[in-house]
This record gives sequence, structure tokens and C-alpha cells, in this order.
Amino acid sequence: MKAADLPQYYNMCEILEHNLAVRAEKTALFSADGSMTFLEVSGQVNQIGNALSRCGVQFGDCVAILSPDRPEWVTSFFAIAKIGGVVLGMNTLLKTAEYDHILGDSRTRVLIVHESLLDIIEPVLSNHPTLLQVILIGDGENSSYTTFSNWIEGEAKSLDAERTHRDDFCSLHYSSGTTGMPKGVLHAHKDYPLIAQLSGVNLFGMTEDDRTFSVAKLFFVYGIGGNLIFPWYVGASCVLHAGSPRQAAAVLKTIETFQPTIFVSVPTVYGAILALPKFSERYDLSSLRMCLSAGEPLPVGLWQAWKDATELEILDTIGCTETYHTFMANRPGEIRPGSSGKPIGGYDVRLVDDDGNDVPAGQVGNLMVRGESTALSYLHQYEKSRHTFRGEWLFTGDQYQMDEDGYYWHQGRGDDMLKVGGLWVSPTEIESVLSEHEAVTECAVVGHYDNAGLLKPKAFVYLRKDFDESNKLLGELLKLCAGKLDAHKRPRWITFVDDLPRTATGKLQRFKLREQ
Amino acid sequence: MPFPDAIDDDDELDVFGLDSLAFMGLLTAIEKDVGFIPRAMLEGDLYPETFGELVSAYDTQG
Repeated sequence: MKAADLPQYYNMCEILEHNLAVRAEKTALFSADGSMTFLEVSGQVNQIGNALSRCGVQFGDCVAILSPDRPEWVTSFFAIAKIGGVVLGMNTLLKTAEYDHILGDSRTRVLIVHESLLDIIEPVLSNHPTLLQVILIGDGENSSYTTFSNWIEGEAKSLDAERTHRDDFCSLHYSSGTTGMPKGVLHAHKDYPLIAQLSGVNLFGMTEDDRTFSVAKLFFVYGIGGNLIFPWYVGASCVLHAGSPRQAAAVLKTIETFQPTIFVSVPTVYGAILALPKFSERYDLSSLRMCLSAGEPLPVGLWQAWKDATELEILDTIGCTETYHTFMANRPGEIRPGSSGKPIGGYDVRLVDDDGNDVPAGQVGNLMVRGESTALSYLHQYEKSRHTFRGEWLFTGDQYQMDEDGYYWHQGRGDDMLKVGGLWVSPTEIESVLSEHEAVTECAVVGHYDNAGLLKPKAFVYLRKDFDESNKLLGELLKLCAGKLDAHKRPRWITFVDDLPRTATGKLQRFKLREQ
Repeated sequence: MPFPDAIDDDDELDVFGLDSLAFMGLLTAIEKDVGFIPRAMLEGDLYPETFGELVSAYDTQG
């Protein structure tokens, strides 16, 4: 499938609405907060679309959603796209300052926020005069904001889709950067059917008989692709889980309750589940037929342990926000554990040296990818865009090696960024927080593998001479990080050192710390 | 990494590196000692955020 195969004027809401003619009464989504048929979803989508238009939202305007995975997230998503707006699914794990940046960078016009997340974003709402309205998901008790249910009450359940061009932008996704604030990636209407066909159908073989469940939240491209776009593209159902993926027991209970056939997960969660002895006896997981992994490399040990416990093979894949979803994967029956598999149909990859020359099999090179779902640039980031989007090719920053059978093996990053639990972490950000403590002269953060083979931040701290290392000081540093850093960014280990390795010119030698 | 000497009931678990994987490992270790994991945790209804909530979950069922 190519983008040119789509109608020139195409609205991605078609991924929902094509189901109305053939399976309107089928349950489209299951969740603890209520289940909905395709018809019910469509009706609410139209109500929200009409309400947004009444707010003054126009073609191209950004509307943000900040909510756990709930039915309102899904209906709002399609409604915004249907009226020609740009959906911004906000990461629910960020700090107030990051929300402040994103609201301004995106010029968000309407914010749809769940009451459980209002406190963290509310302090900066007044900074943004472009914000027309805030809608609150929840009962709204003691709140001055319009509640979601009141907002859409009385709105018509019919709405004509905006005549959007397939290349018009319809979603904005923020991804952490090496320094500074998250950077925005815009995707077009065409990208949605493309990834659904190339990954959902051609690669994973999804059919309308499937039911998906993802621990990766809908604000992640991996989550929304695998747990909303792919299943609805083929008429399958999805299971939403509003809880944290950290709650491995709740994840298992959700599988037992809603019986998905496809489990979209990440290495950290596979590891957490495997840490519970006899998990496959405690919970009924017999509905599963396929397990997917992405976000960070899946260690061979986890892959084997999962297979031993469940008799299911995990398909490890790699994708990124810039390509929207998977571009390389292991295929059913052709799995090479520990590798990222091979490029999937619709995408080409290259491994190049620092001068841009292709490297032969067996040598490490910088991974470049080409495919029609790739974004065009970062929003308001000219220099970073020039570095990453190189003509048809996207410079991923990952370093890979291809074996003689054409399988690709991750070899690390070309920069200092870490992928922790599927999320980008900048060592610089952690170092700047640790350096705020009066006892710290300087510090450095590198990636270190835990017992499950997953990469986590490890800090090396050089103390001022009038401070001694102690458990009390350790506790202060941990609490400092907890107060200022998202959970996945907090160092799992802090080691006190006498100095940090540097070159003659003073450049920090992180590779020496990684070897410790 | 060792836990600091002083931990309060209000201290959050993930401050001390108890992410999902480490937390499940902790539950398993406690199960070996006390013989059970609180049902509310296994049912996914309870995920303690603090050390106080963790201890309380065992006190309640124990």
C-alpha cells in the first residue's frame, strides 16, 4: 500500500466509520469505565465534534487530550481529526513545566483533561491566551470547568467530516529531546491507514476477530497504533486500561477479564510480570495468541522466560515517533531473539558511517529509515529537523549491526540518550537535578543494565570535600530526583566516586563509566 | 542500591528505585516470608504508592 492509493481527500476518521456499515453494534472498545459499540463511539465522536466547533475550533487548530486511557480519550481523538483539527495526545507522566512548554508550542485551543491530572497542568493554564476552553473529564465537583458530559449533552449525533487532504496534519506528538523541552512531531491523515495496513495487517495479521490490549498508553504512537488504529482498521476491538502499566498485577487481571488476543507491551512490563512466580497459573492468559514488544530492546533472557511460561513468542519490533510506528520487526515463525528483526514492507533501512557512507554487513552503523509514514520535521525546531530529516531518509540516532542473514541488532545510541521503559531520558537533565544538591561538585549519568537486562539510569556523584558519602545523603539525592524528575528518569543507582574520567581537554568519558 | 537508613510511611516507593519490576520482586520476596500477596494487589485493585500503604496492605489482610 502506498499513500497515493488513498483518496486525495481523506479523513482518518474513516478508520472508525467504515465499521458502521458492517458492524455498528459490535463492541468497539472494552474498559472498566464502560464499553462502547462502534455506533455509540461514532455518536459521541459527532457530539464532541459539534461541541468543538461551537467552541470556535477551526481547521488546523490543536486540541489537547490529557487523560488516562478511557473511552473519552478515544472519542475525542476521532472527533478532533474529523473536524480537521490536530490532536495532541499529551503524555500523562510529565511535569508542569513540560506541559507549559507544550501548550505554548502547540498553541492549543481546547484542553480536554481528566480530573486526576488537572492539578499538574492547571498552574500554567493562564499562561496561554490562545487556550479557548478547558473541558474536564470527571464529575467536576467543586470545579469551575465545564464537565465533558455537560459539554456534549444535547449536541447532535450527526456530523459531516471535514474534507481534509490526505497530507493534512491531524496529530501532534511530543518526544523527549537530548536537551531542553520535548519536541513536536506532526503526522498526517494518510499516516494512519498506512501504518494500519503495513504493520497491523501485513505484519501482525490482525483480523476482525482479534481483540487488542496495550500497556503502552494511547498518547504513545506505539500504543495508539497497536491498540486503536490497527484493530479498528480491520474491525477488531480494543481493551483500554486506565491504570498504570507499573501495576503488573492489574495488567494480568485485565487480560483475564477482557480476554484480548493480542498483547501490546514493553520489555519492562514483561519483566515485571515474569517477576511474579507462577503468574501464568495465577491468571488465565489463554486468550492471547500474539505478544508484541517495542520501546527498548527486548533482552533474550526475557524473551525465553516469557516463552517458557506462556508458550508464546514475543515479536520484538522497533519504530519511533517520527515514523509513527514499526519499521523493523521480527515476524511470526522467523524470530531471532535479541534482534530487532528485518525491515517491514513499506520501509527501507540503511546503516551508514559518520560520513554517510553505507557500511557492510557485520559493521556497526547509524540507522537510517525511509517510509511514507515518516514525518516531515519537528515543530519549531529548524536545526534539529535538518539533523534528523535528511531528504527521504530519517536519521534515527540508533546504532545497529546487520548480520549475514539480514537481521538487525541494536548496538546502542550515537548520542548519550537512554531509552528507559520505552521513554527517552537525557543524562544531562538528571545531572542538572543532582547538581542542585549542595553536596554535589559534579556528576555524570550513564545507562546501566539491571538484572533483567533492561537499561536504567546510573549516576556517578563526586562530592564536595566537606561532605561524606552516607545513606542519609543518598536518601536526600533520591528524594531530590523524585521531586523534579519523571519516574523513569530517576537514577536506579547512585555511586559516589573520587573523580570523573575526563580527556585531556576535559571532556567527560562516559564510556569509561559505562564499563564500571 | 541500599535503602537509606530512614524511611517514612509517606516516602514513595519509586523514589527508591522500586519500579514495576523491582516492586514485583519485592512482593515476591515478602511472599516467601509471610506466605501471601495481599489479594487487593493481585486483583489489581491496589497499587501502594508509599511504604505506609504497602505495610498497611499486609496488616489489613494479615
